[in-house]
Amino acid sequence: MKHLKSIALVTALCVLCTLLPATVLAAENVELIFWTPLTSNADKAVQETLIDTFQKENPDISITVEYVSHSDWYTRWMTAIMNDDCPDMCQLDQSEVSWLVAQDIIAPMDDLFAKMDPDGTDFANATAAVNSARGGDGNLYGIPFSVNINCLWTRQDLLEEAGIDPYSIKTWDDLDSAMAAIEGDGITAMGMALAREQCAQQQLFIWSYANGAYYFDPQTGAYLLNQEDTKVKIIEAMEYIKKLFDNGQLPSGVSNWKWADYRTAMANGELGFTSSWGGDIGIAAEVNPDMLSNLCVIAHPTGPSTTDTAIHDFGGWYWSVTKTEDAAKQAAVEKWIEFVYQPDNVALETTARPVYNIPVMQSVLESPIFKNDPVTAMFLDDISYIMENILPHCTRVGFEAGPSVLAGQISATLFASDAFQAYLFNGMPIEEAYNMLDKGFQDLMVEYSYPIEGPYAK
Amino acid sequence: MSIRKRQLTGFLFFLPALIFFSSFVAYPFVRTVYLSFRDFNWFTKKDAFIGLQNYRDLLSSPQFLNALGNSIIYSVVSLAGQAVLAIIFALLLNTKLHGSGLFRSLFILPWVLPTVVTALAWQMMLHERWGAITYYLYTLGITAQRFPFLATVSTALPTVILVNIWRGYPLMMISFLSALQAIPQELTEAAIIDGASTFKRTIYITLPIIRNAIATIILFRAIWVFNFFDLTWQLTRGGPASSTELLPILIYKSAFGSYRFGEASAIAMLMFMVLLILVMVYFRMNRSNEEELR
Repeated sequence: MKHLKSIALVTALCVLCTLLPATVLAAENVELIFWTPLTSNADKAVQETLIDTFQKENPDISITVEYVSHSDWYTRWMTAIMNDDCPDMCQLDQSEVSWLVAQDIIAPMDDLFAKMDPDGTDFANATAAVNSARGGDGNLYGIPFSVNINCLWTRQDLLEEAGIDPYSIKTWDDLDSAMAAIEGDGITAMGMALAREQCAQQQLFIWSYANGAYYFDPQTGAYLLNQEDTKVKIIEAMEYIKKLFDNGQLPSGVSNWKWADYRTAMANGELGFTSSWGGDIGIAAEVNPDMLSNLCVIAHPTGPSTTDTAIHDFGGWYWSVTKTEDAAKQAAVEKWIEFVYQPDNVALETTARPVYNIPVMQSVLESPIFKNDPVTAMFLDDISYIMENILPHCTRVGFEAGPSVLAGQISATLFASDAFQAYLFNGMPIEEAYNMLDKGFQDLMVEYSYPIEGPYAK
Repeated sequence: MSIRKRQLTGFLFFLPALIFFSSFVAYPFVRTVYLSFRDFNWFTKKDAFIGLQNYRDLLSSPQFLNALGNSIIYSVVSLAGQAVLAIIFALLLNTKLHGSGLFRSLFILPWVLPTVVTALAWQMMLHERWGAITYYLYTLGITAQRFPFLATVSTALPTVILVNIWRGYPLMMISFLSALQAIPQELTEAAIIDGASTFKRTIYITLPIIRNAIATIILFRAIWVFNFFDLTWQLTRGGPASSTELLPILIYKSAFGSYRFGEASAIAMLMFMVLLILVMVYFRMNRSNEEELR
């Protein structure tokens, strides 16, 4: 019996010794979880590096990343909100920011942003990207770290041969001349993604923007497709793409082309231009590195109805933080956010997909990690060109005046693609296609209680 | 063991099946019926009873009517193609040909492949830039250019149907083959003695005997094909210009693109009604078979 008591005492002491430090640690250690929809292997490697470095610098904070694909994003969030089990932070695009703002889940980041860029120079060219995460209350709910911007990528070697300066292509007429000069002999003039899911509608919006057509008013967010001048501009854009297709200046199977199709075709030297998010570069680096030196970027040329600089469509990547009353967590989150926005760390994120991910902070351009990335290094001039000339003129349909829940739904639904495809490929009359587009928008606005005069109308 | 105890034991054995059925069949079905009468959007949290409005909207919606038409064409032509191919191959494999075992394995291959693999392989083969099929059709002078079959409105649905026929015939073939192998050898032998040719034996003996098996398999496959989503979604996403949009794709778009679960449920119920007709045909056929046997 005495023996048994001794064993029990020793066991109890052992258990106590094991538990005590754990309890003490648990009291001090802050655990943070963030979600990200950036799930490529390169993105994952970056997250692991960042977490390792941060945890070494901050042993009292542990970070866990959960990879949540875009397709599961809203389902996971809804479930998390219902179960009060939201992550502490997340990487997300601007549509997702606006949805989380509407759910009253994420916290303003104005103070943090002001601390990161006190004199407003680092994010100077990214005002549009920053404002896309500014709620109706004026607060900033997400800070951008990179953007994907749709521009025209082209073959400067072919243009040079034809005696054309790529930067002289300012209008659709200039573009027509340039395409005519370089097409043929295995080169199709233009590549773009016109498949049904997400792609066709993107191109519709991109070319409408290039013709000066806003879908929603940039000041008030008022719906504009019921305005005659908007209609004219959008119809001109649709007719322009139709003309390219009918003239054989787009690949014959373009109605099923997704992003990878034109990127690969460009990398393989089969296209003269691409209306592209820059992913061509990453593919070329993989499949045909010799092509890299031939590629360069220009701003979208403008259509006949505008003389302004073309508005460009962009997708922004942000960090947002969820609301919490826990002061220790707030402090830890702040540390992490400041850490990930250090230029070298943003450089790591952006070079995970070089040139496709464009940094929004000027300071990143000076980062050795950024400058020394072999693919990025070849395109530093193009990246600077995009940051100076295109980034300030970016927006996204539904975000013209600021975040709106509608924007995410516009990209998630297919009505715009269907209308555009029906006109391009199935002989639907242009008026009918436009009405289909208009009806799709109006139905969506009713469904999401979006005021036709705009949510930002005074 | 008392009767009561025996009943309890029986009930306990039945309970797991009951729980499974209630949770995964009965409840979702009842919930779908319920939602089909509501304007329910998971995203906006809108939820209101609207009676038959979803059904009325659908029946006047060009998108729904287009998808319904496509689904009917897709199902009927796919089934006909699968059945014809399956019968031909089953008859061939039923003969004592040298290497028929190897052919049986080869013919079943399309069915064994995961749908995603099938779709990707066909997408590659039919691609206008690097596809083997488009290349050979062009080089043999059959097409004037490397034709984008999946990306052209007029050819996308027929192409998807062809791929579906290729994928679906093996299951039918195996089913027909097992029905063929159940035919008593004496019947064939008697016909041979009477001087019946292979063609006549097939038409007057073999096919009439397996008629019921053929009908039953086709009916089951009809339900399957009508509901089949993966292949078309992988191949075309319902495009170009909605030319391959089928009802399951419309449900998916409505539920998980727009979060309109009320509308999606109504489409599902309309699909269910179509399938119910097929099920009723099956039961009727089954009953007449039983009566014949009596």
